[in-house]
Amino acid sequence: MASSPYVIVDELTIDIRTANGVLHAVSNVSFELPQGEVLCIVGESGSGKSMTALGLMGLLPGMATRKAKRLVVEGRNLLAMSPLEKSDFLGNRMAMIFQEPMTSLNPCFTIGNQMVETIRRHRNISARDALTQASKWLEKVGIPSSAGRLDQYPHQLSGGLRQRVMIAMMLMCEPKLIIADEPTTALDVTVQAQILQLLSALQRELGLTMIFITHDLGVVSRIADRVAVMYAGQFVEYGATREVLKSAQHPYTRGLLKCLPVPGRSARGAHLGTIPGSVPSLTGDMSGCGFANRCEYVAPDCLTSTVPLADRENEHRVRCLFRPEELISGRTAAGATP
Amino acid sequence: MTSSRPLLELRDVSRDFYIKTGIFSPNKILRAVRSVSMTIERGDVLAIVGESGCGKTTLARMLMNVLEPTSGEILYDGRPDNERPPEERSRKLQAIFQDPYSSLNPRKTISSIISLPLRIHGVRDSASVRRETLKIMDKVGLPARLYDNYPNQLSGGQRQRVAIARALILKPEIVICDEPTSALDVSVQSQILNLLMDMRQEFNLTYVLISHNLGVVEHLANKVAVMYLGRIVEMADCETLFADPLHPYTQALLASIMTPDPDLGIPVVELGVAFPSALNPPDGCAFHPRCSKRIPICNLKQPDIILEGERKLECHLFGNGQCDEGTRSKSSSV
Repeated sequence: MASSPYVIVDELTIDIRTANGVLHAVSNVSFELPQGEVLCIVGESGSGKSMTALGLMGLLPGMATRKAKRLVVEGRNLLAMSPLEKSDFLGNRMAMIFQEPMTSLNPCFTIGNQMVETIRRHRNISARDALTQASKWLEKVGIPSSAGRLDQYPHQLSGGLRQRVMIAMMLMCEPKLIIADEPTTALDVTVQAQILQLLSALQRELGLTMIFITHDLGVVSRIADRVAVMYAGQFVEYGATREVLKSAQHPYTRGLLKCLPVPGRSARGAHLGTIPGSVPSLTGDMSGCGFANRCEYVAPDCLTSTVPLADRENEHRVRCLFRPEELISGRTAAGATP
Repeated sequence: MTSSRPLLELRDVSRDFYIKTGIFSPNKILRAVRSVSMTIERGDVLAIVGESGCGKTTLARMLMNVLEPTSGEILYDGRPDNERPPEERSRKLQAIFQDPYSSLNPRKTISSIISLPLRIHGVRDSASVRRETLKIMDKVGLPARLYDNYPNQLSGGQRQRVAIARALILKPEIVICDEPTSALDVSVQSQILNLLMDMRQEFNLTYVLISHNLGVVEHLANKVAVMYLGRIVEMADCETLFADPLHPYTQALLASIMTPDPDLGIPVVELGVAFPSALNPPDGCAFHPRCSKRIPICNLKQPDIILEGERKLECHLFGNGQCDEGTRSKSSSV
């Protein structure tokens, strides 16, 4: 058991019915994650990263359908679970934390109330014990004078504190897998650093496996063991963090890294790199590479053939027909040979 | 003569808000901006940074004259703001807002959104309105085929281009950019930043840039003002500030920048979790409850403003020659 991966996602596909046809939000996403590792899924809005997370949790909206060959967490098959089994499993063995802490906390109930509710759903303990547990976890996430905090309502807390409460609430049942969907995006930079510091410390201390969703490559570089870059519902590049960020191979990842103004590295006032165009429509049938319409190295093959997520050296996987050294910009339609 | 006067000057500008707390309890005063003084020269790109709730948007709204200062005055080109007709000012000063989804009227076409300032300012002839609109659309990189489209048919980046075109059509002198890219994706953000830089060159613009993205600030600005609870705690030109931040809050801000570098860990930010309330700001230096370097005087007395050439600083650690070398060297190693 210990040797097999903790999380197995095999060909996860999520389609959404819309008025204009079927939208392929996530297409054939596969990955395996060993226990105790952090996978970051990074991509722009609409790339399907949140849908992947919701799909794993089985929290998809009604018009979305999920298909997968295998979805296994902790050796349990998520696809075969009954609703009751699922509600015992979620929150207990795997838990999720969302972007905006104000909307995920109920404004009508105190923090203590909501924390106790969570733990008593999964553990058979008295309300008093549950409150003690709650205050213990609040201290653990760095909220001092936690006993008084339990009687406060969410609006009495700052954004950073609310997110800490969410983290405490999520960890109370001691889940082993955590899915974090942009947990620091709504926060100030200083608070973001503090929350990441906290999450990362808890992750190491409790041996948590974490799937971390973000659009910020800076955050990715500091927290992830592995990175998956998502574009148009597909993983376009996957590998160890250092590999992907230091020797990015997919034109999209390379473009993203050039777009970022980095203090001390990008020349001040100079033009930043851009990725022209915009994300393609994910509705209807798709053929060829999803990035082809924005790629400066596009070749005729890119438009017609299906591009697989190909294995390269060092467990690096890239969804591109070409190796970086083979990328030639402005390839003519006629004489393109890979 | 005009050129020697600063384009915008703020003198002890404050803004209070009155918060109702109940029928019988007295109103509370929220001091959003507390006596801010600064000057903005022609051609500057002044960035105002700080965490949410520090008053940077209130300050920007006062610069736009959407809000009146409670006390103090704002001089535009050497003259007090309220002495001139509002049209004259809006011809010189325009704004770009954060969210291009809510700043554009969904029921108007792109062309009527962009040309509205022109029509308000007395250009009635429809042929020249059309010509000017197409010209500015071309400048900001909007294809002419979008002329009769509606905002919902545009992507986020295109919408922000519409907002920029609307701001620039009157050829203003100064543009207030309130978080112009924070609602956009990274690849679109860089397009908009490039456009803002090009437009600055082309129209000789002065920008006031409100942002919490320090990467963007470092890239675009030449002067940076760091705000904390309604006060400007440090102000310097961009290079100096990023190379040698002095105020502990600035140091913490800069330390929390995360560049995509897998060799570095998550930055350690030495700020407490307690968050100050603008309704009840701490005594003395407003930052002292979170400051890791506080000394006894910090909670007693509001620090004086220290001027060092172009640089402005409000911190007890550096007042009266107390500038201790330990803090300085620590700051540069962050």
